[in-house]
Amino acid sequence: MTGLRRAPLLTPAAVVASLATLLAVAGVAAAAATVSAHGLHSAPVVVAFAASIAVGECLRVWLPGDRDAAPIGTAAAFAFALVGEVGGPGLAPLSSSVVVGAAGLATVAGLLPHLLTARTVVLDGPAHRFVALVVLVLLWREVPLGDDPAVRVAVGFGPDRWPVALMMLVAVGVALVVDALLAACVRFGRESSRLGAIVRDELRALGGLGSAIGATGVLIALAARPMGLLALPLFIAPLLLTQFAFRRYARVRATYGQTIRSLSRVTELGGYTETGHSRRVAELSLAVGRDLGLGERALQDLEYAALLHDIGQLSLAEPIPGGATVMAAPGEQRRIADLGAAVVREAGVLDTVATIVERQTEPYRRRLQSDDVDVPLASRIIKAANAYDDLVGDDHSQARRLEALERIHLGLAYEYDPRVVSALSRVLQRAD
Amino acid sequence: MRESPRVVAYVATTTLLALACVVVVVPTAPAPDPWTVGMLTAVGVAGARSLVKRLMNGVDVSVMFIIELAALVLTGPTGAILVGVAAIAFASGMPLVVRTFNAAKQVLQVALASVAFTALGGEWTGPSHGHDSIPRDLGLPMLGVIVTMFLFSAVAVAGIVHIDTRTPFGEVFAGIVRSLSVPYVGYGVLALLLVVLWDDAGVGPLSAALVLAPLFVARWAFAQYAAQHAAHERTVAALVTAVEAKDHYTRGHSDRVARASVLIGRTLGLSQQRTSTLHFAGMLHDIGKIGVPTPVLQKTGPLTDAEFETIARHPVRGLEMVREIEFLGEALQAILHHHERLDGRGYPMGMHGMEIPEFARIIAVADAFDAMTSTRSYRGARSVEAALTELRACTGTQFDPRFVLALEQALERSPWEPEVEGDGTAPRFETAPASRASVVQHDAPRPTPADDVDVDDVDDADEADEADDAGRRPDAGPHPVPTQGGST
Repeated sequence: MTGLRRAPLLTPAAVVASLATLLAVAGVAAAAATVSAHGLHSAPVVVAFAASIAVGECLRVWLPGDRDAAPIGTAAAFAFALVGEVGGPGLAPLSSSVVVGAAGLATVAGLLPHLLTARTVVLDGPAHRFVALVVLVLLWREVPLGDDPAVRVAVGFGPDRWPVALMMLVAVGVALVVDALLAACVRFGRESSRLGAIVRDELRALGGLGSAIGATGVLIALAARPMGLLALPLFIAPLLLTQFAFRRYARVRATYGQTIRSLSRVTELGGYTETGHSRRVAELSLAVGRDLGLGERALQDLEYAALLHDIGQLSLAEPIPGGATVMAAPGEQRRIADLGAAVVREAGVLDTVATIVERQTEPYRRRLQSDDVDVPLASRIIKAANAYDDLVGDDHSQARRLEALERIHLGLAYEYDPRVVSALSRVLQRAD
Repeated sequence: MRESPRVVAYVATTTLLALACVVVVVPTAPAPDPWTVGMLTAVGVAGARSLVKRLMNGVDVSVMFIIELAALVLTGPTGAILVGVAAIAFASGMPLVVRTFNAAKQVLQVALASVAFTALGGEWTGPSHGHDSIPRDLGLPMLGVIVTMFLFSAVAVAGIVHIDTRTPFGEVFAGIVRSLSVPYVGYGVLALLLVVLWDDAGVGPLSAALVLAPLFVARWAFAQYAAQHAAHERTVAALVTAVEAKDHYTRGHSDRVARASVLIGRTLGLSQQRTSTLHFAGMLHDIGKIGVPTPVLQKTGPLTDAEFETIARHPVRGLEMVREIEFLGEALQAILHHHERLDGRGYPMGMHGMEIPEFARIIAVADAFDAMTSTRSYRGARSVEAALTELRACTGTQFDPRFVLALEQALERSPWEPEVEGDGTAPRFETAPASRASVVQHDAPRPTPADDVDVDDVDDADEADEADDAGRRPDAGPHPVPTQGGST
């Protein structure tokens, strides 16, 4: 799950400096264009929104599932796209090109500090957010939906503005979905998974933080008429709290993963399993799970269960010679799985994982019986991945790997789930 | 549980005063707009059921305060009383005495706040679409309202806590003001924004949903954080227990060392973050023992050189295993060096004195303390006093005297319970002290495990000072919240 962040595309200070110069020139040109189009008094509005976008873009957060978000920058950009009058009537609404141009420059400006500190810079997040902004600007300011967009932007429909607020929410929702879909496409391009599963994950991840971002954008745009630019900092403040909460949440989730990955090695250090066995089984299981289109939550449970699948051996007084559970007697394997499930269940919070561990040795189908559909898919994946790793052992030659796969194929339809095995073959083929 | 007559008398007096206020205020105040009152009541009732949750030190999202404040400005005192009382009436899981008190307090604070509002130039305008100058016509009067409501509420709550628990009034009051004034400034600003949107921007009831959305989401994320944090600790505990299963006599050892280390850390006044790290260091300090064969671990006689060598490698093995866990930070050095001695005769590096990392020196004391006070294969457990005497005798050569002293001080305040086994379900940190203001606490739903590990339990558990603790709890705040949420 981790390690997917791209390598820095641009780091040297020279590139940063030239980029900054370019940005400054573009900024001056854009400012001149804005002032000539809207007059000098529109300048503070543009500057305030652009500055908020840049700062927000700079304060990005990593969310659980290796997602990149800039809640404050996105909210400010959405508000900029929606805003009509600022500080009462009298100021003509900004044109779409000014909004798009200023927001684009601000997004790039927000990246500069990251480039300067030579931190890893991921460009696709800012790119989706910019596209989402353009979509919103077009929807709100250019598409004639029943009435003149210029009227919509400027005053709404008389004194009651809640219909405008509703329309704004719908438009913002569309923009957020566009952002999520773009993120899903990028993810699909670098992971071998099913597009449907990825889109579902991205849309689900959008839910919480997305609604806070969208609501804040709409709030700023609506409040700007009576309050002026003061609306920007005042409404961004609660979003800072939200962002802070998400940062902590993401951090503890990442830590949890690291802990399980590290502590799963106790079985190796205790001499119960081969070095790296749990990790290899976990990686292979994840790849198979992705190939079969499992969602993010299911993948996480699968990873944890695969890492901990041999933990039950700790309850044995001394290691089984050889350790490899696929070669051990079925009764013994079963006992280890039960003991492992007991250990995991002790944690009280990993019951799904415990069930997966518990059922990892069960055959896919018992002789003369109908399909045992109760065995979780994750257990079936771990069963196959574990067998493959045990059969390959230390010898990673092509011949040995083919032999291992062949032995698994022999158990097809009884021991192993044919769907899992064909996914396993695909995954192994891709790795070659 | 029955309330004491003093509490009943206090609540009855407050209620009578409130009824008098209703009789005086309602006929003189302008009639509220029923539509606005209805919508605010709906938001308030929905909010009262689910919106209160302590987030961090002193920060809780008490959405009711925002709604009531907005109701006062948008609908006048009658409307605010209706909204507030309706929310309290619909709140679940509260004894009648608490409900009555909260409702009476609500009425009184609204009455006082509306006096402040009009005195500072505020006008009950109803749905008017606008103020000429938001700071002058709305900002200043609302500031008056916030201050009045907050202070009155703090006085009323400090009064009932004082009567119920006999804690000095001043202490409780100061505790409330100290811990809750900053969040309430935040609520005040949000209420102002809500009013501006509802009224000046003409968005109406929809603005409540918009303003509260980021708070809801923040609350959700904090709840997820707390749940994951608890899950993390429990998972570590479960895995450590599995490792300890190899040696019957060390069962629960890691958990007890973690607890003793945290006691030392708290006495030294370590930050919450570092205390948590120290706790993990205690939990994981012996994880490397998994590489030591069970017979060697359980051997009662003297060890051969080779056997000692195997045992002496456990800190290094432990470090190897957990070094990739980023958050462990200082804990890694503690795991590696917890068998060093001040005189340099320890292992694995033979470090001297203050070269040994601080956390390693703390763990060394806690480790030895638990080893002495628990039963081993070759001897029975010693008493706490005997163990402390032994530790004192070894200060300077083996242990850092500061930490031995800190452990002694900590044990004077909270007695040691060696029998609490590290079964992975015991709370990692002791939760809040047993003595509580019964009127705001009893009948609270039992805390769920996830709630138990609230982020600031580390701080709270140490507060022998009951008054301060009362001030921290959201339910004792100036706005005794209608839902208990079981967050303490």
